[in-house]
Amino acid sequence: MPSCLRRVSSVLGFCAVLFAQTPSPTPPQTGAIEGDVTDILTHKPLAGARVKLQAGDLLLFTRCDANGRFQFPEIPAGNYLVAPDQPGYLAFGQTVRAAYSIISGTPTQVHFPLKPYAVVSGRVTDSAGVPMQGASVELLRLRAIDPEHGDLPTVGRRAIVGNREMVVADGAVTNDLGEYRFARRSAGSYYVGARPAGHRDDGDETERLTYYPRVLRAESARAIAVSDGQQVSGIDIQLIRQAGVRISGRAVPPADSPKGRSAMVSTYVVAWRQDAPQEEEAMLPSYAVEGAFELKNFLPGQYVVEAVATDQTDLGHPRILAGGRRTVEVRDKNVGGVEIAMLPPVEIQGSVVFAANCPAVPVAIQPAPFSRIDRIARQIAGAATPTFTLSSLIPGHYMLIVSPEPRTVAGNRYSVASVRLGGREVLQSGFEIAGQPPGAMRIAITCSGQIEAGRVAR
Amino acid sequence: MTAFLLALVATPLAPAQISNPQSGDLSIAGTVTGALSGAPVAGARIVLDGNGPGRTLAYSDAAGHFQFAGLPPGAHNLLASRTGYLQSSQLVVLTPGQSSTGVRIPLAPQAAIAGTVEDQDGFPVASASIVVFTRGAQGQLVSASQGGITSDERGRFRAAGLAAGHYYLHAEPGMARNWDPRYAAVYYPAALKFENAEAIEVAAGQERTGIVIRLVRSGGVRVQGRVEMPPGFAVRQSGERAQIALATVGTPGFGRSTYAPLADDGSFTLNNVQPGKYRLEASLPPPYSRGFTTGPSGVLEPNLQVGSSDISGIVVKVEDSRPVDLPGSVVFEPGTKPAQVLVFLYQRDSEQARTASQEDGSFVLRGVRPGKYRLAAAAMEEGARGVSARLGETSLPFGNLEVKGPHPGPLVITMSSATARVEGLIVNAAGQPLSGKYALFRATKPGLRPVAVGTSEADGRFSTEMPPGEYRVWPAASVPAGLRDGSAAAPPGQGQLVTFVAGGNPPLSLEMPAVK
Repeated sequence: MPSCLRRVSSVLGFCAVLFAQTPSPTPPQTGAIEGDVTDILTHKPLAGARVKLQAGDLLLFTRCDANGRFQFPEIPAGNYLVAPDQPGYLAFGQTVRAAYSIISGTPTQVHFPLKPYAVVSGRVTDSAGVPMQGASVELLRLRAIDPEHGDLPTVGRRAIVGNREMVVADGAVTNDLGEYRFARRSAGSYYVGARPAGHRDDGDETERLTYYPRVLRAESARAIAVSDGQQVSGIDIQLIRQAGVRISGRAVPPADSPKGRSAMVSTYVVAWRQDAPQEEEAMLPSYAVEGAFELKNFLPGQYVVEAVATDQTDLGHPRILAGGRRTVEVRDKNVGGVEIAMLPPVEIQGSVVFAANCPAVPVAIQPAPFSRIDRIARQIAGAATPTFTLSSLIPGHYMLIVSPEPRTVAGNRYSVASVRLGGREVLQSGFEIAGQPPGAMRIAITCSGQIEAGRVAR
Repeated sequence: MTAFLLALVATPLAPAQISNPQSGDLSIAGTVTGALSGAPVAGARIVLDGNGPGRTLAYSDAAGHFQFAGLPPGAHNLLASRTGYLQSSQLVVLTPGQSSTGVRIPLAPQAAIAGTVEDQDGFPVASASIVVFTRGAQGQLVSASQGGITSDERGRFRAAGLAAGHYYLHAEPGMARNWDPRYAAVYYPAALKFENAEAIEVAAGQERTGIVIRLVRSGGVRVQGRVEMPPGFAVRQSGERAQIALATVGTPGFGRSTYAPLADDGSFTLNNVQPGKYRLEASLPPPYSRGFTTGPSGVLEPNLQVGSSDISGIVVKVEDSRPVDLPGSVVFEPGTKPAQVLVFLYQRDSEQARTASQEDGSFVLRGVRPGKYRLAAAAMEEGARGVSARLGETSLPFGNLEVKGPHPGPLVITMSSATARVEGLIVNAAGQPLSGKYALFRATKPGLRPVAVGTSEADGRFSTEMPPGEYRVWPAASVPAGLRDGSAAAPPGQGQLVTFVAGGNPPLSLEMPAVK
């Protein structure tokens, strides 16, 4: 068993030195590791920290003494993963070679300064001020918008602030006391938002995704600055309850759609905020009866309303018959009479070509914004199959997310040079589908191999 | 997104609903009180008709009062919840012109158990999963946890929403960083076996804090073996590796699995396996995974008994169970009007595949996993039904279909609208008519409609319809559960063989055996 007594280790070290100095055809096969664990900010020792040592099947644990010191005496010489751990500090691990110094006979010395993590915590209450159990809380932060993604919807994006986007960094659910806690955070500036527990169908007046301190728009949320090791509590959010309005209208099927065989056709209508397509606010899907639909709980804003008619005859293999989209401006009154003309979906046949010096890699192709109905599967084309088909494209405006995966192979950084659809460049502008096949698509991929390789090689 | 999809798939045949606001001139008003104290509870959240289209929300005021107005007559459900109390629901039926204003909703205070999970050295254990369970009415162990409870990075956990009672806690180490895999799951306080578990008693509204669950480092044994892949299948696919799962079987209150990746030759080693009963299951990487995640494929045996010594030499054989497309067609008996036909495959009464025939009678059942199914076919308009079927060269007994191999089929279903009308009388040994009994019919020859049931009226008479053919007929006091899949046979020595023709048939007289 490893011991934390330094004296024992010294003795062992001394013995090992003697052993090492003994002329022998086989070199000594033992080593040792010792060291200390401290707080990186205060440099104080972390008494009681646990240290793991691992190599293959060998697994040892020890605890630090009052001076933050630990040791693993007399272990087989070689490389080990040494990982200290202490509540309140970020975990850390390092490969260490166990040996004895030829000169002094001392074991390998290692110093672990641990970084204390920050904590953001608080309580979520409902609009009556009662702690809410099961509320979903998200920790957000600002980051630069990935230029390769541009304005395309990013999963977890809540707002765009200048050239940065506010995205979800962590999620939590409140306990029965309404409490939440985000631990193991690095220093930085954070925002917190909370949405009510369960289904949000509480009628027209409902509790809303509310940001700290008590605002509806992510852009207006207040930043919470934390430093390493700081525990910020009291980030309490009382959810805002506010009435929304309804959007109603009709989904109109294509003029020539067959009348019979309709027993298993469902028309499904959803809406989402145009500027925050991932926000999932205020959209209750509606089955359209005879084409009529009603969605509720919308706050003012610009929304995309989408209707999709699906044939459910083949269980588990729904077939899109027709679909359509419209943009609807919502103010403070119900919006009625929204007609969504549905048209049959179209297909795009495409191919991926690589620049001459770039070996083919897999490329993921995903039209966006994808519908709430997850119908347009991501396509993978590339080395084995240079062609792909984007199917079930209902009318609407699409951008194309093209991602070589991985982006960098053997020093070659891949990027998209061009996307041509029916002879037109659509990489920047995106493309419009209006019920007519738009022609073939050709995606050109280049790579910057020489530059990257040069940088790596230096 | 997933939820929407599920809704889509789950309700394709349901009549679509538009959410219309409820309207009416009735109201429901009342008070929320503490069940023990009788004192009013403020700030309780009351949801009216949570599943209905006109769902509305109210909060109780300082005096515990709440009110819903503008309601139509009928049944309304009130669901009241408030932090610190157990949820409670109440049904209120409004008759026309009659509001209900004295509703009382008592809320029982909730109890909670909170504490920490520690290792043998007293070091806090993060990411441990805690299950709280209690004894059910029959003494069986039932889970009392709401959702998953996981210890935080300080090892702390909290199980709330408990009613007064005795609770057992089970803690299982998770995948925390720097974890020592030799630690085993324990029952509170530090028991490897349930026999040594201690129950924690809580009174209504009581908070038991400072509960320490101490994990035990026990080592366990090593389980080694090899997975035999089907021909042409690789252990590694698109960067992912097949793995073997060892799942606990029959452990009180919870189940858990440990996983190990397969080596390139299919061999595996599972370390630190604690004594107990296990099920071994192989799961393969995409694109095969769909065919292997569930079902019997890859399961060695449901009962692998692990004791105190290492186990080696286990061989798990994986079968190719990828879903296939099953093509087929429908044909119509002379005199039966052709129509579009819906074709269904069932397993244990749950629909597994479904499609509709094209105008030429052809169809394709997509994504069918290998396995045994019950086949059914029904015409959309004319009421014709499947009466027999063939899969390839094989006639199918009683519509039971087994799908295997990469290219099954074709499946040919014969449809008929011919119907035998059967009527009769159910009597007791004294010849007196019996009401509410069942006449059960089971076809003796392969067919798609293997069973029929007639129910006797007040005068003991029943009438029913079935495809023409030979049936075994017997009376019964209830419809046996296994009747449809053929596992319920006629009682020994009973059941007369009768052949029914299309149209009317001579009346039957069935005598119920005397109750012993």
